[in-house]
Amino acid sequence: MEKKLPNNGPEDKKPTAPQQKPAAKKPAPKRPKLPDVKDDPFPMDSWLIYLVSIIGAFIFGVAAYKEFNPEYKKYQVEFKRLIEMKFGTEAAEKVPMGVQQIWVKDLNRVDRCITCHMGYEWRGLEGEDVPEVFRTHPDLDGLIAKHPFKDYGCTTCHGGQGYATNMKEAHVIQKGKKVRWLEPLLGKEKAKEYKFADWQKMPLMEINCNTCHRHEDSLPGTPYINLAKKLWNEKGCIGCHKLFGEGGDIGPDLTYEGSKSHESFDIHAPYYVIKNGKPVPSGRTIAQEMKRRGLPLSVFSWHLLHFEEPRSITPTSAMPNFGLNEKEKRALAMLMMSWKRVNLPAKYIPKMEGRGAAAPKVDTAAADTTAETADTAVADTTAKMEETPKVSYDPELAKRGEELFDRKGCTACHDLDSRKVGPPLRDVAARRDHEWLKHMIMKPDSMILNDPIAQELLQEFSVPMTNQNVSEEEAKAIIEFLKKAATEK
Amino acid sequence: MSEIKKKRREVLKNIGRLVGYGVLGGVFAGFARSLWPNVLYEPPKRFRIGKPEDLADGVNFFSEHRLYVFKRNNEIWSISAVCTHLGCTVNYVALPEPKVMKVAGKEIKEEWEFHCPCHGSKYVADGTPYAGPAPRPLPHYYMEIDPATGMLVVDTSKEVPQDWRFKLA
Repeated sequence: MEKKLPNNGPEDKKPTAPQQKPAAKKPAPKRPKLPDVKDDPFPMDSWLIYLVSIIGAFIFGVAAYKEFNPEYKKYQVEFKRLIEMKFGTEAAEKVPMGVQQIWVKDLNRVDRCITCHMGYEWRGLEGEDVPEVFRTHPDLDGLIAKHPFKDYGCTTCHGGQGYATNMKEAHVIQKGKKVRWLEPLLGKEKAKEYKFADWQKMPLMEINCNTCHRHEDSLPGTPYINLAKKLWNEKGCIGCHKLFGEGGDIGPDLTYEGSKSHESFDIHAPYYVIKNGKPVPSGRTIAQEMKRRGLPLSVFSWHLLHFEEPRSITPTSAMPNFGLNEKEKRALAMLMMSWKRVNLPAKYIPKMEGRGAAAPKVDTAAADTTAETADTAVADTTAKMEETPKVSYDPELAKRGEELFDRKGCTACHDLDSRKVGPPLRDVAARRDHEWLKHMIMKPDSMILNDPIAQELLQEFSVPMTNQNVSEEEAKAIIEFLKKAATEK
Repeated sequence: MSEIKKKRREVLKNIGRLVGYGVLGGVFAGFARSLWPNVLYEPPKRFRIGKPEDLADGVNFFSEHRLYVFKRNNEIWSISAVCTHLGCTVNYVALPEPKVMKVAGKEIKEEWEFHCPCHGSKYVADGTPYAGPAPRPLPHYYMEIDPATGMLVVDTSKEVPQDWRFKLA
């Protein structure tokens, strides 16, 4: 500005600004405080500018370097070298570079784990000599044949952040830092953190198995979940807790316990100890108690403490202390975490054996001719039924069942011997087991959503069975009637 | 104005220019880079279709990928089943008797054709259209053996000439 002033001064000679002229002519006395820059080529302010520029350039350089040298590149180069060593140059040339991913649209998952874990389906890398990160996924022909990578991705079972392309974020390593991803990697480290005795087997992964397999009584390979389900039945949890609308009202509904936000668990509430049979404040909060025991501050730890002594968390709780051991506590906490509300496309819902005697055991390859196989399966069981014809029933109940069968309007769609809108029911009591019949009579709508047999039947008959508001007693009576009908052929 | 002052001004100006152009260049480079994304949310262009010895002799259809794969005399090739007109899935039509057709200057003895059910486009065995609105031949895709699993991989991002064949060893 000071340079312009002497030029402008003479041009616009305005009477209103006469002081400008002398001011421009003598600038030096007006700014006496400015440092003298006459002899110093690099005064303070220009040093500052240089410094900022250099820092900026350095940051830019680091960013550019990071962009072109991501963490996974190291792994990919190393993997290529490994393949070259084991299988030759030709195979190594086919190793893909850059971000790799499995995109599972149906489950809304993008798993980039394979960007580093490149040997996951490469046969011949099973050995101990191969670094763990590159090792072939175990059980490719068993477990993985049933759960192919392209349909399940990685995080569906393992947890972790599928989008991430570096280890810290993908594995959700949170040592010393408050990283609270909702889906941590359920690996060895996590199991060790929660003090599992068999942490090396990655037991926490069973939580994710049970997200789809929640309706099965037991599943091979999930000892903790199986134990928890056994406990659930033995301890009679259903007496107080609802599960899919069935059960008592004393405790909270647990159908979607695993989807509860961690904010619904107040870990800063006081922790109680039981003295003389009564809960007394311990002077610690729940969070402090977790820390004292070396457990992470999490919902899982909350469940562990709660299963140990419910009244230590909620002093007014009516839930008894079941005297669970360490393994049982962990098993039940895992069961709770697994009960998530998930949107599962039909093909991910497992076919259940044992729910309904006629669950056809057929290869998936032959399964598309459903109607046919269902028919033959029915024929099979009818044949079996003729060998053991006696189905015992309660005649009193059966009589009431016959009335109900008429009154509830079942006859509108079902006949005993001929096909109407729905299938004939003469020997349905022999075809299906009691539980299946009870569910189908009481809640046909949810059966159609969840049960593979009901879905197959819907395909065959195309009219869904309606919910007739049948109570459990009524359903029992109707089943007795159907059992009676089965014996009277 | 002193010489030193002038020089200093020049130096600062140059630094300014450098930073300015650097930023512009970075922005432009970033923009250009974004046109080639690392990954896309779409079905992979490369997919496995199984072991080559498991393919049936003759025609194989993969409905999931809309692809015909032919195997003959230890040669394998794949033809897209997506009509080049409006993208319907073309039908494989086996001819009762082989016929000789002259298409695009070539004489072809063919045993099957592809017919589109939507607008009546017809293609000869190698995918060249001879009737209907289809503007281009059905593309043939590159195939190779996946070293990880020993399975045949189709790469739909690489088109190959019609006479390209994957040879079984």
